[in-house]
Amino acid sequence: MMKNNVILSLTAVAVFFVFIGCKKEGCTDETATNYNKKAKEDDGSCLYDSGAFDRSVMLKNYADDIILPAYKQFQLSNENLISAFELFKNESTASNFNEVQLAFEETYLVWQDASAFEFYKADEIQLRSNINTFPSDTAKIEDNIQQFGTDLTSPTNLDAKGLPALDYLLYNNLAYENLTGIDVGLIFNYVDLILDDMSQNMSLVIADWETRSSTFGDNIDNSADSPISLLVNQLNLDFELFKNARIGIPLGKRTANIQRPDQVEAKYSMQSIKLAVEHVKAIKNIFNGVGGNEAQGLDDYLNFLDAKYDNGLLSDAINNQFDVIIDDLSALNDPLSERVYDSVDALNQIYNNIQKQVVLLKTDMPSNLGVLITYQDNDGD
Amino acid sequence: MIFRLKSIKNTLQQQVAIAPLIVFRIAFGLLLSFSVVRFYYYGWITEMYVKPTYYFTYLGFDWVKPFGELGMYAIFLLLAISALCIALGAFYRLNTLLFFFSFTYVELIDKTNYLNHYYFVTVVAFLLIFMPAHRAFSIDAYLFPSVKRSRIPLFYIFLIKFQICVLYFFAGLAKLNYEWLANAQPLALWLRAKAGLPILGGLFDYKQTAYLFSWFGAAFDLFIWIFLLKNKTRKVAYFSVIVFHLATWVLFPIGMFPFFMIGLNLVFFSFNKFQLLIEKKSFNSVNNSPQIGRGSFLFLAIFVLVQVIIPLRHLAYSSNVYWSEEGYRFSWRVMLMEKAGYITFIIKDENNLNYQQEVNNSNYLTPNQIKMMATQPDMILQFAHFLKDEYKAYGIKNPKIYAQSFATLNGKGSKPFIKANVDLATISRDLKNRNSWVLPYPY
Repeated sequence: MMKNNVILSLTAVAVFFVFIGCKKEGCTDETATNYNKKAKEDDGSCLYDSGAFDRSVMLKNYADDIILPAYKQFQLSNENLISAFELFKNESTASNFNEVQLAFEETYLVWQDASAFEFYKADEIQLRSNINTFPSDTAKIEDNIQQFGTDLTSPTNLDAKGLPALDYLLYNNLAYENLTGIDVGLIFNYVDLILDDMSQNMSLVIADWETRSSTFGDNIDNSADSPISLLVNQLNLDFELFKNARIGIPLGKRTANIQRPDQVEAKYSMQSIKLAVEHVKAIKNIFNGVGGNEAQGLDDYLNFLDAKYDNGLLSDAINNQFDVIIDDLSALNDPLSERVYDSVDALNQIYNNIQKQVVLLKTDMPSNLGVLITYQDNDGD
Repeated sequence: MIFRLKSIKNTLQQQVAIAPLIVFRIAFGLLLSFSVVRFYYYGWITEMYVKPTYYFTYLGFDWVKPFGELGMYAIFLLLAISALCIALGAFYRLNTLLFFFSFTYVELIDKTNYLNHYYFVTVVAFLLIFMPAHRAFSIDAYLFPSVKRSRIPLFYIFLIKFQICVLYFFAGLAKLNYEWLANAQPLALWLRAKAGLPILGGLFDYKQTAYLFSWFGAAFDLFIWIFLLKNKTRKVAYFSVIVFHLATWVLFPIGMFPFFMIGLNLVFFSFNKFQLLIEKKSFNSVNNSPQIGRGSFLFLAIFVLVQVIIPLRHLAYSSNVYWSEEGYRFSWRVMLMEKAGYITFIIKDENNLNYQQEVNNSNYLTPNQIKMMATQPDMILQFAHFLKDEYKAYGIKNPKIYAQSFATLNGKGSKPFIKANVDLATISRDLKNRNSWVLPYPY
C-alpha cells in the first residue's frame, strides 16, 4: 500500500505542477499548432508540427546539396586547372599561361566553399592543411623542385604544396619567365606533383562522402561525434581560423600591431580580399543551408528552437552580422598586403565585427542547439 | 539539550550490521577502478594532465603540479590498483590513504576538470579512511582474523548516508531557482537536442516535457533521500533512483556519475542474508567494534557543519551565482545551467601606449581549458595573472591585461562578461566579491 501511495503522490505532484503551468495562459507562438489568440502570456504549452522542421532533412541537405557538391566543385576546378596546365606545358604561350592563372584563381575561390567540413575523412587526412597551408615556405619549394622524387605526402611539406605553393609558382615576379625558360622540366614536374596531390586528397574525401551522404541524416543526436555536433564545431573552427589567419595576423593582432603583409592568403596572386569575401559568403551559405536549392539549414533549426538574441531571432542577428562583414570587406580592394597599412581603421572594424560573429556562432548558436564546443570529448556535470 | 546530545551519541554508538558498509566498500572500489580505467581508455590522462602546459590550480594549492607523463600514468595506475584493493578489502587502511591522496592530488592539479562527482568521490574516499569497512568479507579479515567484526557502530553508516543525503538535498535546493522552475532552463534547451532518441525523443520538442523533467528533477533531489531512509519506501525509492540516474545518463554527457549513485545508494539497504553469512563466518568471539570516541563526535560535528555551510556560501555574495560563479563549486550544482563564453585577452604596455597585443589562448591552453575558462571568472583572472608574468618575461615592464569577453546563460543571448576597462593584472586573487571586475548579471 505504502509503495503505491508514494508513486501516486509523486505522480500527483508532477501532474499538478504541469497542470498549474497550463491553466492560466496559453500558447502565444503563431507558428505553433495550438496557437491561442486569447492567450496573453506564453506558458510553454506550444505544440509544433513536427513536419515544420525535420533535423534529418536538414542534415541530408547538408550532405547532398552543400558538402558533397562543394568538394566536387573543387575537384572539377582542379581538373580544369590540370588540363589548362597540360595545354600550357605543350604550348607555353602567354595566353595559355593566362588560362592556367584563371583556372588557378577559380580553384582557390572554390576552395573557400569547401574548407569548413574538416570531419570524417577530411579530418583524418587533414585536408585543409594539405590544400591551403599558408604562407608557403618558398625556400623549401625551390629546394624541392631541385630534388628528384619529393614526397609531398610528408607532413614536412605541408607548407610547400597546395594552393599557396601554386600561388607562388604561378605568380611570383619571375613566374612566367621561369615557366617558359629553358630548363622548365623540374618546375613542371613539381606543379604536376602538387596538382596530383590535391586531386588525390580530394578524391579520398569525395569517395568517403559518397558512402556517407545517404546515412548522414539518420543520426540527429547531439553527442560529440554526431553530425550536428561535427558540423557546428567545424564551422566554428573554420570561422575562427578565418578570423585569425586571414585578417588578424596580417593586421598585426598577434604581433603588437605590427603588420604582417607576408602572412596573407594568396600573397602572390594578390586576391586575399576577394577570397575572404567568398569565404564569409560560404560560411553564411552553410549557416543558412543554401545549396543547389534553398533548403533547411542551421538558421531554420535555430528558428524552430525559438532561439532569441536581444529581442529578435538569433538567426537574424547572425545573418545581419554576416552581411555587415561581407559589405565592409567588399568595400576594400586587393591587395590586402597594402590595405593593412592604408586601411587600418576599416580592417579593425571588420575584425571586430568578425569577432562579434564568432561570439554568436560559438556561444549563442551551440547553446541553443545543445551542442558542446570542444574538440575533445569528455564528461560534464 | 545535553540530554538530547547524549541520546544522539548513544544512538550513534549502537552496534549495527556491517553488511551495508561492506557492500558500499565493494561498490565504491569497483566503480572507481572501472572509472580510472575508463579515464585511461579515453586518453584523458594525456589530454588533461600531460598535454596542457598551463594548469588552473586552486586558491591555496598553487604548489600542486602534475608529475609529467610517466608520473601521471603511474598515479592513475596507483589509483586503479588501490581502488581495486579497497573493493577487495586488502591492506585497507593503506589503500584508502593512497587512493584518497592520489585522487585528491589529481583533482587539485586543474580546476578545468572539476566535476561535482569527483568532489563527491574525494569526500567519500576521505571518510572511508576511517571506516571499519575491511573488517568482514575482505582479504584483511582473511589474513588477519583479529580485525574481524560483524557489527559496527551506527556512526559510520550514518556518516555515509549523511553525505549522500547532503548531495541530493543541496542538488535539489540549487534547482529551486527561477530559471529552473519558471523557464524549465536549461533542460528546455538540452532536451530538444535529444529529440532523436527512440520512443521518448518525440516528446522532447514539447516544452511541457522540459517542465515536467525540471519539476520532477527538483522534487526527486529534494526528497528522494527521505524515501531511501525509510524502510517501507526504500525499494520503490531505489527503483526510482535507478530509473532517474539512467535517464540522466542517456540524456546528458554526465559520465560515471549515474552509476556511482546507483551503486553507492545500496548502502541504504540492510542486506540481512549477507549479514547472516558474515556472522556465520566470524566465529571470532568479539563481534562488536570498539566504541566511538569523543574525538570522532567532534569530527562528526565539524564535518556536518562544513558540509552544510559550503554549499550555501554563495549567500555571502551579492552577485548572481550562475553568472559570477562565486561559491559555485563544491555545492552540488549539477547540470544546472547552459553557459558558454568567448574571451580574448589584450595586452597593453603602460610605458608604450602604441603597444597592443592580442593573445592567442591556444598557445597556452587546450581547447577544453579555453572553453572552461571562458565562463568562469576565477580562471579568467588566474590566466590574466599568468599572462602578466609571461609578458613581463618578454620584456614588457608593466603589462596591463584586459579581457574582451562574452557569455551566454541558458541561451539568452550573449552579453559582455568581464569589465573590459579593468586591468586584470591589478585585481588580487582571493575570495572577495568580484563586483569590481565582473559585470553584473545582465538578464
